[in-house]
Amino acid sequence: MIVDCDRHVAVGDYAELFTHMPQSWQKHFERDEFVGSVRDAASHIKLTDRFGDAVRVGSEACAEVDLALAVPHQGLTINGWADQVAAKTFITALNSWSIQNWEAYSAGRSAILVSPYDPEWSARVITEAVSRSDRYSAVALPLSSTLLGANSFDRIYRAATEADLPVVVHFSGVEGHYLGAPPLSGGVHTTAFARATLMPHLAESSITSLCFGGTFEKFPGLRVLFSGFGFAWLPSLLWRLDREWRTFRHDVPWVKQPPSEYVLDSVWLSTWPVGEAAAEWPSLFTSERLRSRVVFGSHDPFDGDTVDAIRDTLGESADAVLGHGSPVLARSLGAVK
Amino acid sequence: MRTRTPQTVPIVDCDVHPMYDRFEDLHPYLPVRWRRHFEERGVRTYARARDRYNHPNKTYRVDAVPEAGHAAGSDREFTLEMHMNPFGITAALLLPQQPYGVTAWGDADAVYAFLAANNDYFRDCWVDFDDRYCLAITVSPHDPLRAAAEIRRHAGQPGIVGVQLLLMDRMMGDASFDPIYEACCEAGLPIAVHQSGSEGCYYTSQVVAGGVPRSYGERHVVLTQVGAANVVDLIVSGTFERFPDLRVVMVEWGFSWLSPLTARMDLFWERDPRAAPLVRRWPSEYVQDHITLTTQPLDEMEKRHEWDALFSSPGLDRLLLFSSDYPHYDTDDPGLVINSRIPEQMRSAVCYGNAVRTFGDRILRAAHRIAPERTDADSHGEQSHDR
Repeated sequence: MIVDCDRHVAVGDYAELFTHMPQSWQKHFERDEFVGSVRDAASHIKLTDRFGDAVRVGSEACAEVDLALAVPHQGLTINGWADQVAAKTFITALNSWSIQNWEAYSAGRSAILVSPYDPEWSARVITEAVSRSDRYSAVALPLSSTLLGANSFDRIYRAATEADLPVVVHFSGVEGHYLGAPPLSGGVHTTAFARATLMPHLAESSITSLCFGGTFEKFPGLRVLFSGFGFAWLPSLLWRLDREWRTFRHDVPWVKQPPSEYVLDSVWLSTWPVGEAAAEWPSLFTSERLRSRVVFGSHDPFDGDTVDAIRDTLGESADAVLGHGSPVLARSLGAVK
Repeated sequence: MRTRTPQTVPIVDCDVHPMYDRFEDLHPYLPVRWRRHFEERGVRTYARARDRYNHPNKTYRVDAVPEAGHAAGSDREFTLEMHMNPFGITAALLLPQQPYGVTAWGDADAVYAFLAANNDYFRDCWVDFDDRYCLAITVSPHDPLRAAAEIRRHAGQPGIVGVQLLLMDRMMGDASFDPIYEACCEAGLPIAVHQSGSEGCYYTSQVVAGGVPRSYGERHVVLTQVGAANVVDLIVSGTFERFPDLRVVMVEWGFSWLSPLTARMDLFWERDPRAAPLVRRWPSEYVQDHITLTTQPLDEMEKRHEWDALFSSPGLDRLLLFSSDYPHYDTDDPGLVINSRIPEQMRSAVCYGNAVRTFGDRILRAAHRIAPERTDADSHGEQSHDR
């Protein structure tokens, strides 16, 4: 079984969303600069010409795989929006559009977009969505400048856990760029190249916050997938997590075991860009438990990795990795043909 | 009193923190008006916002407090007796920590009066006291032209081996730093960058990714990111193209993150070099030619193969400098790290060969204390030259 945990879908024109929102909000969004900004969502960290503008949907996108989780990435960019009220209308429309978009294709699953700025509303969105359709297979939580271990996210984690859905975290591209979005490490980075290089630090900080915040003690069934951040850095992070916990565990008594244990039980990372892991994979990802954290994510259509690229880099263990997404997307497995 | 351990192999400890004991120690090095200014208004010498991130214990080793009850790191003889002699350390790169406080100051005039006094004090009272002490003078980004002048004021002085550059909000690749780098290259002094504690505390600070960590320990896990981000920025901003002789020592930022980071940069650059127009060759090549990193805090792994993998990263044997971080709470024990952690085949390079290549022969000005047949770095396959 091949499970792709990092596909992207997007509307070609924001006007497509108007039929998925109340008329008063249609009037709000019917403005040239908003409609014209549709391409920005895919271009914030566009690095190469292979970052696709077109959106592959439906049977073509799912031809290679048995199950594909698609994130409507345009919705992630609300982490750089100033108007978080309008943002909720926007992602509600995207949720409605994406489920309709994937309806005809058995392998396609969609992530429910929620807002980090309104966890209570987000929890309701999750509960209502899963009651309407079994095609939602994850909760896509855009990153805000509040780290994921904050108690304010508990409502989202509770709803996701109750719905048996993983929380998927993927950068939008405006991190470290737009005011209000979470910062990248260091200071101001003026190139997309530098920002893309440093994106994994967002996952590092989020994982650290989830562990040191005690989130996995509160929600032992929570599954969190960090998608698009690579994974070669994971061993280094695990060493640091456990070292600091050993030094300061009396300061965080609610963290009851080495943080690496939480990560090895509850956190997954997708493969893109797999090429950066050529050295670390054979030397450091030697235990099955650690390897099981790595799931296939093509990142298609943004300069994505093919199944062949996974096999070329990960060798004998590639086939296992291609299927590692199964437990992450467990809710969907029963529906896979 | 402890005695020196007989020693045959040089050991350069690239992260030792000296302190002045009382502010009055700086009086001889301050103009009267600045002395009065600081006496009236006080001097903030710690950078971390202690009411934001309280250290859960103490920031220093309790056993590093001199018997007389003075501040840990403030007694030059005690540091020799407790740290240098028992482990046979040939040279200590002194990185004074009280100047870190200026990263939260706004008055550039006050900053430079204070930094100049610190630089002169540690030169006179530590470097001139024992030839095992080597100093990185401290400069800040408040005024790069004054920083350059301070570097030139100390250039060529015995025991001055580097420049400790404090970080504020601007990234190291920012062109505003160019006068500092120009002065460093002119003087043959490498830049040393150490975390100050201010990271993530102020609007004038650099930050970790994602937001505000909740606790001291959580923040400490990800503090390495700031060092990594500046390595990326130096490369992407073309700094090493503008200053091909510049060397940068990343102190206490860890190093296990380096291999995946450079692999990522190389991969993205290979896919589209035009995305980084100021980068002219593989990003990893800039690292090899311009960057070194200190060993402390050494990651702690449980499995032997993890240690082997950590140290087998290509080129790492030319990038690492031994460091202890004495007298801080998380000091790495030199005996343990050197004898049980660093692989034997890279031990001489990490203990002193790479330090000589980075700082020049001047870092081993106490080499006369070592058996003559082991002082020649070239005998260990290392190219030493005085920069």
